[in-house]
Amino acid sequence: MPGKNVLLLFRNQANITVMSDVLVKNGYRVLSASTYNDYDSLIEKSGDPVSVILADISGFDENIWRRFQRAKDLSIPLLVISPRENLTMQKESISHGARGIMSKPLAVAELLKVLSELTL
Amino acid sequence: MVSVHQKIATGISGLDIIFGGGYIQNSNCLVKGKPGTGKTTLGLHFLNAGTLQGEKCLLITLGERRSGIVANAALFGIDLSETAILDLSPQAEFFSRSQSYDIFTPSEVEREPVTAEIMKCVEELKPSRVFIDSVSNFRYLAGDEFQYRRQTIAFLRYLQENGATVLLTSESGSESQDSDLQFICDAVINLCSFDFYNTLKVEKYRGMNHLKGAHSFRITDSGITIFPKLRPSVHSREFIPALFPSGIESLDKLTGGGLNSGTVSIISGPAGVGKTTAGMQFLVQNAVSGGHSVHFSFEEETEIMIQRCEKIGIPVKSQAESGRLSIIKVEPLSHTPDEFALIVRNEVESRNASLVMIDSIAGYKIATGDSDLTPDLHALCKYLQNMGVATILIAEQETIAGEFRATDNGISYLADTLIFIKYIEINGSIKKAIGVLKKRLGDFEKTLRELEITGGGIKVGAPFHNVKGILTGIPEWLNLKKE
Repeated sequence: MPGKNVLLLFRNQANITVMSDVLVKNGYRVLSASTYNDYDSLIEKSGDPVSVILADISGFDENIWRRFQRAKDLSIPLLVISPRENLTMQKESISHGARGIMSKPLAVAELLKVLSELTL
Repeated sequence: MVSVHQKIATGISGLDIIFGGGYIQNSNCLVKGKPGTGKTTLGLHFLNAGTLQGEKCLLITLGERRSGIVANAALFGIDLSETAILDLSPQAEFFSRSQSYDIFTPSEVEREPVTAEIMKCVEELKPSRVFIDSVSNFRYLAGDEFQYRRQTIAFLRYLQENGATVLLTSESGSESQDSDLQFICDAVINLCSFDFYNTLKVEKYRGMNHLKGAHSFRITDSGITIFPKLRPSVHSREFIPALFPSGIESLDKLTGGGLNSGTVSIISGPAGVGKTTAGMQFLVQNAVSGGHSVHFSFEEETEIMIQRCEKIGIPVKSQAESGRLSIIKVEPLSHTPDEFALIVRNEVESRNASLVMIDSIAGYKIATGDSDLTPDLHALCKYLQNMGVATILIAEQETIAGEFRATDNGISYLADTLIFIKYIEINGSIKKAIGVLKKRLGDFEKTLRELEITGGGIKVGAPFHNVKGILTGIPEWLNLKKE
């Protein structure tokens, strides 16, 4: 049975690599974007839609809120990863449609549990 | 009762002696020490010993690259071509990556593949010996100290359940003490490096006896050579009590016939008084009689000493050439006390030396860098006694004249026989007096005699009579009017 699609929006290529490894090992299929353009085209993908979005806000500007809004419009669950506990960032994320926020570094078991709940 | 523990060779003969035969099979041993103390080399010997016996050996490296380890081993003549090497060290591409991940801790993403790789290797190879260099790197793959301890215990247990004897290194430093590992492991070896020597100490050997103390070792082209501390109690041989005369009748009268086998004699006196010459007289006489004598010279150059003795008619050269007299020059800071003891043992056990002279105690102290010489010198003398060897220690006194002292080093208690030579002033002339202060075995002459060293050899005159206060250096004549 094919796994669910997870779209990664990460600037850091090394994070894309390790996150992909973890997710693929746990049965997910991974799409990744490190620019808004890539993200924009992947999120609109038809046929094999994105089940959940994981976005690491490090390295992105305020234009990221529009991308979050689009995910919300498409009813794609969005999990935001922030560098540290940042209340302002968390509020902004939630207000733009994030369903959950996790701070780095992540615990794999916890992440998988949250992903599983988001993709039920 | 038969020991249930099987021992396996460590690959270093001195370490086998310290461990009473080797590492306990199917146990683990932690080797700790600062960088450059020889931890990896110790492990290479361990693997080499297994390979030479046809065992399957595995080296897991987490720091140094495979190619580096293979090249270093080759420098010591150790061939790792038959040893499986699992290289878990960071690859060069890691450095060239422009970014590193920060989304997970290393323990979250790297521990699992590392564990899987090790398990795969162990299960395929089934090694009987595993060397992990260094286990400190696993600390960074554990979430916290508790996890590290648990994971390390589980890992060692896994290897042991798979039939392996494990040697693991740990980098001891201010940041990584690895003190918790010492509780986990069955044995702990601590390596230390000093300016002129290195030491190895077994700090733990669970339930087993071992040779205690800090044993010195060297790292040379052939790897590590360890010099276990001399344990006199394990050495002995039967000998027929004998006397070693000097061949000079009046001197032998003083000493009650000569020096006894299995005893220590100290010849004490200030510089230039003739201590070495007197000692050489005993050595050469023994050699002439067919015995084997050894002179360990810590100060005087061999050629000068030979010339000096030849000039006064002591045939050192011919006896040295005959092989019955060994003259061994020991350079300053060239040997540790343990290493020197091994040289002495070789002369005694391989060449059957019966008379040994250590010239001098102060030179021994400097040459071996031994700040507290008493325990090591005591052990060496005790060993020589047990082996039936007559030992002469040359003790130099700092004061030329004045109040008498047996020795300056506080080691006169070692002496079974104490011979002293002293400068004295008689009627404005400097003369030398020789006497025996004590002799535990047998009688000896209690008088003092004049000692002269002339072109005709050592002359020991008649006993001084009608004189008192010789030991003060300025004697007084008694009954001068009558004389």
